[in-house]
Amino acid sequence: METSALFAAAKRRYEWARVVRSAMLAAIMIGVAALIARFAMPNAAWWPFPIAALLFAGLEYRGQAAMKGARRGYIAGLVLLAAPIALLRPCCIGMDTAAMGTNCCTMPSMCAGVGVAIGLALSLVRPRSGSRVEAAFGLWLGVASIASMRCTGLFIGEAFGLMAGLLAGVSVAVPLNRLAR
Amino acid sequence: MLMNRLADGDRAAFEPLFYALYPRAVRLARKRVLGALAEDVAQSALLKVFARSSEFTKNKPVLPWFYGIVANEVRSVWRREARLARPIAEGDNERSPEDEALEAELGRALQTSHDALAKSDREAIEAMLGYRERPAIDDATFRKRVSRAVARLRSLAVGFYGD
Repeated sequence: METSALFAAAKRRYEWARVVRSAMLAAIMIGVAALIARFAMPNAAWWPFPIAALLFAGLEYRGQAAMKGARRGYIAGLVLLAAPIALLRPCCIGMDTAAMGTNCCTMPSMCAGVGVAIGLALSLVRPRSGSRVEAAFGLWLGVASIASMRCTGLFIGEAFGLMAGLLAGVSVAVPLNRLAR
Repeated sequence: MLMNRLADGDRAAFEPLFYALYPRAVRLARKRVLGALAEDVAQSALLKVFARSSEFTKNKPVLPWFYGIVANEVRSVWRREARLARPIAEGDNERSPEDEALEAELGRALQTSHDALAKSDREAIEAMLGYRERPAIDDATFRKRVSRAVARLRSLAVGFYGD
C-alpha cells in the first residue's frame, strides 16, 4: 500500500474506532441514567433517553474540551436526576405528595435557582485545557441532557427555568477561564 | 504527548504521529520478517495502533505500547508462515529486536534530553557521573544541584521518549 493510502486507511480506522467507542460509552452512560431515573422517577418519559444517548455519543466522538465538559456535566446531571423532587419544588414539602403525586405545586423560580447553582458549581470544575467555549458547551449539554429527564416530571415553566438556569451558570465558565489566566 | 492528544480526539496530532511511528514499524518488521511481507506487517500493525489509539492510557510511555503491538503482529505472521521469520544468527544478542529498539529509543531520548539541558544542569550531571571535575561547593549544595538537574533530565526524557 502506498503511504498516502495507508495514511487514509489509518485515519479511517481511527475515526471508526472512535465512533464505536463513543457509542458504547454513551450507551453505558445512558443505561446508568435510566437506572437512576427508574428509581427516582418511576413514571419518567422515555423519549429523552435516545436523544441524550446521541448527544453523548456525538460529544465523546468530538473529543477534547467538549467531551471533558460533557463528562463532568453528566455527573452533575445524575445528581440532579437522583435528587428528590422537593429540591426543585420545596413547596411540596409537607403536602401529601403520595396522594397528589409530584404535581403538588409549581415553582419555576426554584428550578431556575437550582439550575444556576448547579451551573455555577460546574463552571468551577470546567476543563482547564482546550477551548473554553467548547468546554462550556459540553458542560451544559452534558448536564442538560440528563437533567431534561427530570424535566419530564416538571411543568413547562419549571423545565425552562431549570435549563435556563443551568445555561446561565455554566456560561460563567467562559469568562472565568479568562479571569483565571 | 501526541498520543495523549490523539486519544483525546485532537485530530491535529494524527499526521505527525503517523509519520513518527510508520518508519519505526517498518524498521522493526524488517528485523523480524523476511521479504516484502515485512512492509505488510508494518502497515497492518500501524492500522491496529491507530484503531486502538483512543483506548491508550494517557501519560504512559507510547513506544513500549507501540512496539508491543508491532511485535504481536510479527508473531501472528510467524504462526501463519514460519518460513518468513528472520532467523536469529549465532552470537546474536538474546534480547528481542523490540527490546533493542526500545533501548535505542531510550538512548536517543536521553541524549537529546541531555543536549537540551541548561549548561549548569549538564555540568552537574557530568560531575556526578565522574566525567568532569566536581565544582568547589559543599556536598549539600552539590546534591541539590544534581537532584534538580536529574529531575529536569527525566522530565525532558519522558517528553522525547513518550513521543
